[in-house]
Amino acid sequence: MVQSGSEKGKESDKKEEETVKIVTSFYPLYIMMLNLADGIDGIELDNMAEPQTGCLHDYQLRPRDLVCLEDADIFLANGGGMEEFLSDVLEAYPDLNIIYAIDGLSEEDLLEGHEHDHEGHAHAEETDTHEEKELHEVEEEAIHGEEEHEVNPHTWMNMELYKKEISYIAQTLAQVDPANQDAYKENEKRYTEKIDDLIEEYAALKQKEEKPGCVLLHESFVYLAEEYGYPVLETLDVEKDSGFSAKEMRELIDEVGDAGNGVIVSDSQYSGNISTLLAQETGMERYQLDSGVSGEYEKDAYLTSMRKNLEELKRAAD
Amino acid sequence: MQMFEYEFFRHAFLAILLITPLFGVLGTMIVDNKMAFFSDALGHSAITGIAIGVVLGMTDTTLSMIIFGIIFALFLNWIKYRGKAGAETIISVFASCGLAIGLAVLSMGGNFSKYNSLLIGDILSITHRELIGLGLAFIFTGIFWFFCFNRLHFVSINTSLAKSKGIPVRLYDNMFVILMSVIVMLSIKWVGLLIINALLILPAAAARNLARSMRSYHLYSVLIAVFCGVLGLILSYYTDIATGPMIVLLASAVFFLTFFKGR
Repeated sequence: MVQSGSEKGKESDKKEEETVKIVTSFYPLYIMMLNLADGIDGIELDNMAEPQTGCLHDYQLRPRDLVCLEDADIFLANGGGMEEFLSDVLEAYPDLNIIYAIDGLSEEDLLEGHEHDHEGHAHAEETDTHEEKELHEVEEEAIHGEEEHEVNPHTWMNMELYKKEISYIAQTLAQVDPANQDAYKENEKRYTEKIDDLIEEYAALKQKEEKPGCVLLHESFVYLAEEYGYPVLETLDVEKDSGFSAKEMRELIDEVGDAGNGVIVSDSQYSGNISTLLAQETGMERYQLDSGVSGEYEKDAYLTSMRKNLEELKRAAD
Repeated sequence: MQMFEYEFFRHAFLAILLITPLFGVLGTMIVDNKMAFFSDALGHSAITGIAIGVVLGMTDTTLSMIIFGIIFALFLNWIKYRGKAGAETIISVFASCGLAIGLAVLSMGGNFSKYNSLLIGDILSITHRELIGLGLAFIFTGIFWFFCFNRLHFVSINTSLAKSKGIPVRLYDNMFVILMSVIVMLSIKWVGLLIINALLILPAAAARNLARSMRSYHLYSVLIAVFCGVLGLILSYYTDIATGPMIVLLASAVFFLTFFKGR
């Protein structure tokens, strides 16, 4: 009895050694990994923040998330301040191999972060996450030799940058898990080709000359707007749906109204109350884009959502 | 009046003109029947109603809220009649239970922030259609009040006498709690479940400090509710304080003023 028990233990130990457990911090990275790890045996994928989560900054950790980190080999995070909810947690796992997607990009790729001046978004950033930021800052400094300033972390919204991140992550994975390096390379190639096709579909839009100015209600869309030449009139982070005072509401309306003639672009994952109201008040058209942070766990989820965004952007340009 | 140039403000203003008189009138009844606990429980259960709607995949959870609210209210009423001393405790147990179920279901994805508006209300983003819904509730309550007030009042003053006069006491009581739950559920999105009870109770409680007759009691309650609502909205136009809490703060102030005046 005792023997068989210990044998079993050995077996499962062996199994654990063979499988590489990769935990992603949130949805877009999980979708990316679904593609990169496609068909590779011995990879266990898990995602932390569930896809219906709206603003990742507001995410509340559940016990399940920590269990999921417990036996992880690699933790794949976005970086750039996206994983604020993990600030304290990561300190408890000093041995965890953390890959930041944003490290695959150069300083010039990154857009500056928007100042979080709207109440709903002023998540105690200055206090709580200081330590994590410092941690990452040290790392960044080591890599780029420069001080990190506030960046816009929603880099996956630019497909070119997304591709860069994919190749960086595929390379890093190949180093960590050399047994599967060819498979990673193959998967990277296949996924990148699909994205290239999509970029091709976007080409006509890029060439189009007249595009309306945009008032963006979420800073993730800055990457998309900049890439395809939509003038950004104003970026407001309207991430709370309620709890406004009438004064804040008035200021918001005035800000949008003063931004100039254009369209309002809101995030389709929110209730849309505020953007509808803003559109009514200012008489501007409203378009809804998907920032790709929620949806089903499907391999092509990113492509599907970017394709939908293309349709919406086309509509806005017509 | 620059503020009326904004449509959201006009909508919110109208909504307040519809909700506050309802609350003023209902509040008098709640205060008289010592049902403050009851309405509090009802407000808390709204979140379960929404959770049920979400689980069932409804896009508009108002219906599931109203249905659940009515069932919950009738159930609480049944407990009230059945129980003797412990009714208050039992109501409180069910209220906490309802709140916990709602919170558990709605926070399942790790993200409760989507439903934050339920807690503090969101009167500034009320739409045209929703205003019409409130308007209908307003008319309906008016009609109900007109036809049933005397009997309801009779029941609340002396239940056994009312019974002996052949008034179906339980029926009236149930009708009243159904009306109450419909109004609470319709307005909870705009007022917020943390403060809805304050809005129901405070104007009536303040009016009771002042009133000398039934008529003036109701009149004061409605006037105080409307006054605090409108002034609260206007003040929130000039400050950073969310509209709901602002109104409750004003109503509390009025209550304390009348409380000391009444001494």
